[in-house]
Amino acid sequence: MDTELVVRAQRGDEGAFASLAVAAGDRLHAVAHRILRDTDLAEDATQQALLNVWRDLPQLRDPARFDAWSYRLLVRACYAEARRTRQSASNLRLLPSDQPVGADGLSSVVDRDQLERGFRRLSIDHRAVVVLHHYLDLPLSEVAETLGVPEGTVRSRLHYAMRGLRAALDADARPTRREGAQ
Amino acid sequence: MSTERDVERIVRSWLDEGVNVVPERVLDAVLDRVPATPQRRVSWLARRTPTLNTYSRLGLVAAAVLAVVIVGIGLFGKSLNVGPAPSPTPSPSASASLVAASNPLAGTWLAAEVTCAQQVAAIEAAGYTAEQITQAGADLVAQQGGSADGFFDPTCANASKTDQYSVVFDGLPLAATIRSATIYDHGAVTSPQSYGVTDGSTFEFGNHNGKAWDICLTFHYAIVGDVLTITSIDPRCPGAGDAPLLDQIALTAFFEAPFTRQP
Repeated sequence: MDTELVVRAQRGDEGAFASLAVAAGDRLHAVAHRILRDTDLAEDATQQALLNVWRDLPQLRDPARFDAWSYRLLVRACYAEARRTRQSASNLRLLPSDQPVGADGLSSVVDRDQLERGFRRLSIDHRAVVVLHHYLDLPLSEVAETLGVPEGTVRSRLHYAMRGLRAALDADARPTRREGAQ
Repeated sequence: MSTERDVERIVRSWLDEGVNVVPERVLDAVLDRVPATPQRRVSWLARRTPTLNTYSRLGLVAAAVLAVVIVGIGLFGKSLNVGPAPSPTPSPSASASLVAASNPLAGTWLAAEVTCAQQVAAIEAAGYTAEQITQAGADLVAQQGGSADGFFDPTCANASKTDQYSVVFDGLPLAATIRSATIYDHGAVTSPQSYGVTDGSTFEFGNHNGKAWDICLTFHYAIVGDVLTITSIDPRCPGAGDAPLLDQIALTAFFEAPFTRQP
């Protein structure tokens, strides 16, 4: 991110902020969409996060940390959206679960369905850790800094989140294998 | 049963799918609302220098030792020099006296030690209500991320804590008429500031960004002998809006006691 743009926006330059919003909008929305798994909620969270970025920019001490700071605001906006609606899995389109198992024991169509189910069962805390680490490739230390929690907490959340996703995948694989053995 | 690596690979692959572009209407909605959304300026209290950790302290000590060694080598080296004397340069004391002549505030000023209760009494005497003082304490906690253990806490959470403020009006120019200042409590840096002497009895004080004041208050001052007295506060400066309540209250406490010029 162009720190000069950040500094100008911190001083109230709306044009500089517009450039920042365009540059940051895609990545923030992509993260929001992956955490919330809902287009409307993700759009609302992105919009609110960008407005909060503008409002709180003067409080950002190190402009070079803009990206991590903006992710923190985004995750907070995701929490707020999730609390506001609580519609979790109600819109989930269920895919057929009798898909053939691939050579590696995992079918891509079934995996998506099971992952979607498993992921939606996770709390926003756990989803955020999974997305920041496995989608953005942030090291755990940066995930901790972004979320404002200790690194041990991040490790714990990631462990339980991945265990939940693995259970979701295995829940699909087990009956299919049993059927295959008959 | 899937292995951990299987799950991680599948999750990463799954996360890579999906929306990657923010709809234009979202950005439009944000940019439409920006002009009506004021930015939150940071109180000068929240900008105070964060507490140094052990490693930072060690680093500062090491840097100080290194500076002493370098200066010592320089002095020792000069004493060994032979040949023509270097051309004269203005002495620091000459520069300081020039600054002092045009800027009566320049220098270091120290106030007496005060308790939190004394500061709150001074704030109330200045006309602020208990509710405003409580609100300022809440703002301070919010801005400092959950604690108000800084050099001033309007809630007096630690009743036995005392403060002894000093301020250095150091004369370093930040803008045409604006110079830097630093506030200390018991000798520890608390907050870098800016100030501008308006005339023989008034100065402006707050956060200056090099172009304009972010936060600014106007003070009247009087210097009698070596004693500096701040007699009144206006919570704004010409061309700037009201300073946040927290700044008004904290500076009331800060400037309540007279300051004595330090050598």
